[in-house]
Amino acid sequence: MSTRVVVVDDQEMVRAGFAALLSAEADLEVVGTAADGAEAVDLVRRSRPDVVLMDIRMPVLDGIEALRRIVGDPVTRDVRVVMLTTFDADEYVLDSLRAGASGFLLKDASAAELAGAVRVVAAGEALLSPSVTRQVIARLVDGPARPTRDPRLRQLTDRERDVLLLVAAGRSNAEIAADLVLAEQTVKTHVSRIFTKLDLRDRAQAVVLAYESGLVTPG
Amino acid sequence: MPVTWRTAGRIAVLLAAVPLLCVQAPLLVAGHDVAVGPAIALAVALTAAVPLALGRPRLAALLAVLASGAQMSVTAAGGVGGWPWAVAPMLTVLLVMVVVGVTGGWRVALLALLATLAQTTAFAVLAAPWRDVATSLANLALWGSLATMAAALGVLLGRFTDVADALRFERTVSAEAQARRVVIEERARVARELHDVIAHNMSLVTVQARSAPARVPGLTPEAAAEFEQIAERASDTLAQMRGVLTVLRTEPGQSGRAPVPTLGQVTELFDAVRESGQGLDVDWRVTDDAGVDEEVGAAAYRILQEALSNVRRHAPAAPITVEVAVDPSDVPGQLTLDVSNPLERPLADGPAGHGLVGMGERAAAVGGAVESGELVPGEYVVRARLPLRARAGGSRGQEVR
Repeated sequence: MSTRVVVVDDQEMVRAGFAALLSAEADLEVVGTAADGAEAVDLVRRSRPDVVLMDIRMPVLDGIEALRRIVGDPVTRDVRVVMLTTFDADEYVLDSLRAGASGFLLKDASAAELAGAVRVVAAGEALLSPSVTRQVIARLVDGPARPTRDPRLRQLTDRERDVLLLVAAGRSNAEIAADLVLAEQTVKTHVSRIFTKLDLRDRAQAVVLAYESGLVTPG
Repeated sequence: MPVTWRTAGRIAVLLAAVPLLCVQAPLLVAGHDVAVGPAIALAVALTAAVPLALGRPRLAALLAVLASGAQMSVTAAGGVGGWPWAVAPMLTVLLVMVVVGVTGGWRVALLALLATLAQTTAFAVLAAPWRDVATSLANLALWGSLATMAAALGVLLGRFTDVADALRFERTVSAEAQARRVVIEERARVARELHDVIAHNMSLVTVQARSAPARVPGLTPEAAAEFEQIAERASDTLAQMRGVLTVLRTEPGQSGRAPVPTLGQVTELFDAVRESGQGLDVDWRVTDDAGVDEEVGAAAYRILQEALSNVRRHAPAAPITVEVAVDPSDVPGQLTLDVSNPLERPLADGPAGHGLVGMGERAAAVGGAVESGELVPGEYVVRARLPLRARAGGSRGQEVR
């Protein structure tokens, strides 16, 4: 079954271009495009795609607000959203990761990067562009690391904390399994338990939380 | 101009010298039997020390000592008035002491004080054979105490003036620094937005080139490779542009979650004004095919936004008239913006605000200019003229009072 994708951008050229590039892949299907956040929320509710590629800066309703509505709606909360941006240092990238985006993609990404991003996010087994994402989060999460760790982290078992550290380091489930000498299925179970306990949607939020709670320090 | 020593103080000193000049000669003639000619000469010499002290404190002190010595000699023989100091010369030299304290500082004031004391003592002692020493010494004591106070007062006034001057200088300097900072910040803001537009367009070029082989059927492999190279080059340029923007972005929240505005979006601004309940009359004379550049449209939007928010801040009850026009007969075309509101009271003087600087910088960035002020009697007007096609190097705008 192919992965269903929606492209949201206020520029006609970006919508048409990305739709053409993604449609060229056999396992990906573009089920619709929208020109602003309000249209996107509507379209996602109706078409229930697996992945949404969405611009941050849009008229009417901006991408972050549309993202909040999509992940806040029980009907569409399982939809993965990747934010499109012209600037990776944008503070809105961090805002959108906090708000529940699965990652972000620069608009000048190559065709291979674009398709790869959709596949990675749809599978949910790994973080999208791990090194870039971690760098951006490390740079944008401000203030010195707090000496006292987030109380939410106390709910985790030692093993779960080890797994969270590796997720925050951008490792995929398969890599974590190899690191800790565990079955990949066991890692999957740990990851989903961590996500439930900490109320995380995605690996991207796990990285943000790890930095913001002081579990991982930048640098 | 503020009331200070440098302005009001000098005038007061000169005014005080006039009556002293007028009364001295008659008093010397009546009280001390001085002949009219020498009395006038003494009066002029003593009083001249007052204005002299404003610029040349040492010379003035010397003149005061010599002239008062002359007065003491001339009046030494007898008469009913006070001696060694006659009343009018004493008052005059007291005034000189104050001014010398201000302009010459405590050293000159102290020297002048000691010189007059020594001179007065000498006269009192020398005149002992024919004048009552006790009376002379009482006159000396009176002079000593009054002159000390006058000198001290002058020195303190001088110190105070110096401090006030330093403070005023400091204020001027920091106001200038503040004004410069406002201009620089606004320029950075404008530069940021222009770079934003460029980066945005560059990313469109990348997407267009990248997706061309997928969108355009029948491209030869050579053409597809060519497109890919264009995409790569645009992508590299974009990376450089990101570096520039990181430098220009100095405070959070500057990149904005909404795209850079277009001229067509100004209707949102008009709606916002109307919703606030303020009267607004819009005369829109721009056709869709007027050919307004993207940067010019963005500049026009920001200028209108700033001008409207200024009116809302300063004259929330005034009806606003907005005129946006492109004159088709004008070659090469220009976009004119006029935002005006009736003035409730005359314009107050003051430095141009942040907003006015910002509008000027935005206009200049696309080669236009902004003027503002009472351009029409009784109306505050912000008037911008922008070329339809952006070009660098317009004038930075001016405030008309």
